[in-house]
Amino acid sequence: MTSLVALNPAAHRLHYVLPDVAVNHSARQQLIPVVPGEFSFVATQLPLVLTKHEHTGEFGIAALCGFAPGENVLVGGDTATPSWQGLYVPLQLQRQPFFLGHDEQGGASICIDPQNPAVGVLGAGGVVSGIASGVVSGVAHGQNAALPAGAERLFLDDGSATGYLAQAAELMKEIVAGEAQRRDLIALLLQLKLVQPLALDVTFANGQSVRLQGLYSVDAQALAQLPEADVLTLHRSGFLPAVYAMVQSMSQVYHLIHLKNQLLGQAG
Amino acid sequence: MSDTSNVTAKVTANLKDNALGKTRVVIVGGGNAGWLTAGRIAAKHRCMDPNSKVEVVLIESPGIPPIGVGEGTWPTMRSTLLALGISETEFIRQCDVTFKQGAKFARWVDGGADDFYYHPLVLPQGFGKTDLAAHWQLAKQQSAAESSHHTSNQHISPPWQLGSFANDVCYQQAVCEHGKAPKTIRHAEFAALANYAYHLDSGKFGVYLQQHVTQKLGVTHILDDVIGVLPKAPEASVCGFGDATEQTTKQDIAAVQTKQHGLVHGDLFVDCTGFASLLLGQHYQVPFISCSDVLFIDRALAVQVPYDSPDAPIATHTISTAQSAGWIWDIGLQHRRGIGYVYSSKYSSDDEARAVLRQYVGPKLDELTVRSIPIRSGHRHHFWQQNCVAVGLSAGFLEPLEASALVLVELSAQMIAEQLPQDRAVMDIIAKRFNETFAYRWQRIIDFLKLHYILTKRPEPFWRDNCDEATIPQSLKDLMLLWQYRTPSDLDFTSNNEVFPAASYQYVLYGMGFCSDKMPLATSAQWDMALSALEQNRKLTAQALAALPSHRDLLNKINEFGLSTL
Repeated sequence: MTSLVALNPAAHRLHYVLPDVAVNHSARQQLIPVVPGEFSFVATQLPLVLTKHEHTGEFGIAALCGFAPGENVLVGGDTATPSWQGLYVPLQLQRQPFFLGHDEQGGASICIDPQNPAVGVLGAGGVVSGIASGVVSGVAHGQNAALPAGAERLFLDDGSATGYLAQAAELMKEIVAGEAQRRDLIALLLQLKLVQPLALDVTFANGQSVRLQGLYSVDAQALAQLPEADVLTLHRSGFLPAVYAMVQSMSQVYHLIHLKNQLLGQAG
Repeated sequence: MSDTSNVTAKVTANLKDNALGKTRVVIVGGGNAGWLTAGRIAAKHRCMDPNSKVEVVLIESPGIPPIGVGEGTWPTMRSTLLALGISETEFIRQCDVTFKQGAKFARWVDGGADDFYYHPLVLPQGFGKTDLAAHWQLAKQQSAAESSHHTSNQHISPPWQLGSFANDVCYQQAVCEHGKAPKTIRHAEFAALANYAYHLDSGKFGVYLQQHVTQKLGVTHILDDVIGVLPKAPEASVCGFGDATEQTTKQDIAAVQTKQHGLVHGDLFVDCTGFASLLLGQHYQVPFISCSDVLFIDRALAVQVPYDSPDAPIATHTISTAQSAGWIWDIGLQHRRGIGYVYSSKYSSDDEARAVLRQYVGPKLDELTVRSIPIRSGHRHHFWQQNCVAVGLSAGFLEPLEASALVLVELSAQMIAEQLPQDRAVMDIIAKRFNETFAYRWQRIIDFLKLHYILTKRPEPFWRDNCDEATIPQSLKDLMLLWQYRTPSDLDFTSNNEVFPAASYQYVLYGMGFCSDKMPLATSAQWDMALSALEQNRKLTAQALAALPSHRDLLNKINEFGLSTL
């Protein structure tokens, strides 16, 4: 279980993050939630599907990355050093290892999981601790003598946020706004009856087959037959491009199958 | 509640004449029977549409309360709600609804604390392809023979770890015993992982139906008392109940006389007046055929019992526990339980019965209101006379051992809606078919209920007398003889009008320890198929237990988030 800690300059002045490790560590998910603003980027490689939240039954929209829970065919490397190989990094991965925490007064703050392998602390006297595997560099010279290559500090010595942390904060805001947009898009899709259950029966090159359940997609036929008033509503909502991105992205299932076939071939 | 003044004006304008040429159905009586029937007919014939050829009017007495019990349903209720355009989420929220996955019969065989069997709603594994019951029976007989004769059969050893029948062949018993819901928050409305029905609050259901049926389905609601009947004959006059003559029993009803709204004319009248059976029983004097010689229960003590805490577990099945002179039903709703002792006054005094109920409920019974309801077990000789058909308690009543009351209402409402005579010329034919259909159904229900009683080993007089051959219908006796030679199968139940599937009989028969001891042995190929069905059931059981949430958790989530229609 992750335990999140709210960031503050006093406690975290010596903390740093390795962004690449953060992305790769969190990448191995079968379904990665995405927001409408990034649909056109994601749709070039991955199918966009609707799924229901495990605890509430509410619909969400995600990029489908694999054929079983925990499987992601866009993650290469090995178990110890996974690496995301997609062209675009979804916001959900980009924002790692940061989370938005809410306190009892309803205020929001940026939090971090100190146990995340991408998070490290500069030790006193330049001894580096908490480094994720494979990223140790030798002692370097200069002010950040102990900072590993590619690492980003969270706070400057004077306690102010680094450019990196400020960027991360902006990203969180973008995601929050994007999630609200996603809810509106889903509500509209349901209202216009444009959602259909998706039954995916897939057979791979080695004869193995799998049936994906619990997924939904945009009903392209219903979309084509929308009455005029609904077409106008959809256009005015600004979501028409997002809806078409979802429709077009379904052909990326073949891309996923291809990647899986490659993996199965190598396992051979 | 509808706005009476507006309704009165609209209704009195229309009630005299059928100027629009629509077929008018007048339902007398509210309650679940009245509103379900009104809803079924109005939905089928699109009465919201002004161009509909059918009009439905329901007259409900403001003074007569509905019976207020009757809380178990069948899976058919899901289709009924769908047909009426009712949202499952709203139904669950408004009517204190919980999920019912079958019935647990406790203490029916020898009365011991561990004596119970399940009648679940899911079919035995491979039903229709493999006769798992037959192999289970053979394996059971063989292992009994083995332990006494030290022989062995290669088909029977280890894979057949025999426990209770329902648990071996079906995963739903385990789901119930673990208090799991039959689906998850991600399932759409009315979709199931495990087949299910509902437990509901009868009073709240009636109120909810009334509101939905009048507002969304175009049914006219009149709040008034029906005090007489105007027969359809030249120069006829209104007769009060009890004044009917032999002549009037052969005449159609032209209209019913109400206290404040005058005459309400109609083409078809549906009697949903409950035990009173005003139209069919009192006006048409259709005799009541008692079946108390077969089913002895004639009294009920009913009580509503609160939970000990707001997160107490809720049973996902009806619990029916045998007692000395009858049995106790225990139904868990979201906010309270409905518990009742049905018994035979011939074998127990009212004081003794109350003591039995108190033993079950506990001392808190002393603070609760207990209702005593007389039960007249049986049904009318026929159900459709002239242009009047009875639905619900007005047609008959049997003890709620298999929750048959509401399903009979649903089946009646469906048949009337689907075969609604648009013309008097065809009505007699439809009436005859309705009567045949439901005479058959009542008989099958009586047989099936009796089956629960005749395999007991309990010593009390109520139970001993239940096993007396003279009290067992011949149709049931015939089946019991057949079932020594084979398991209950669809071959035994070939009418279109069957109520219970063959699997239900299997669950009761083998749950109570019946032995089909004259069955032929199976081939090894059949054994293999049966074994793999058994194995498949074990897998499904593990999967179901892992995937399903607890019953109360799911209900909480449905109340908070609702179920999607998709």
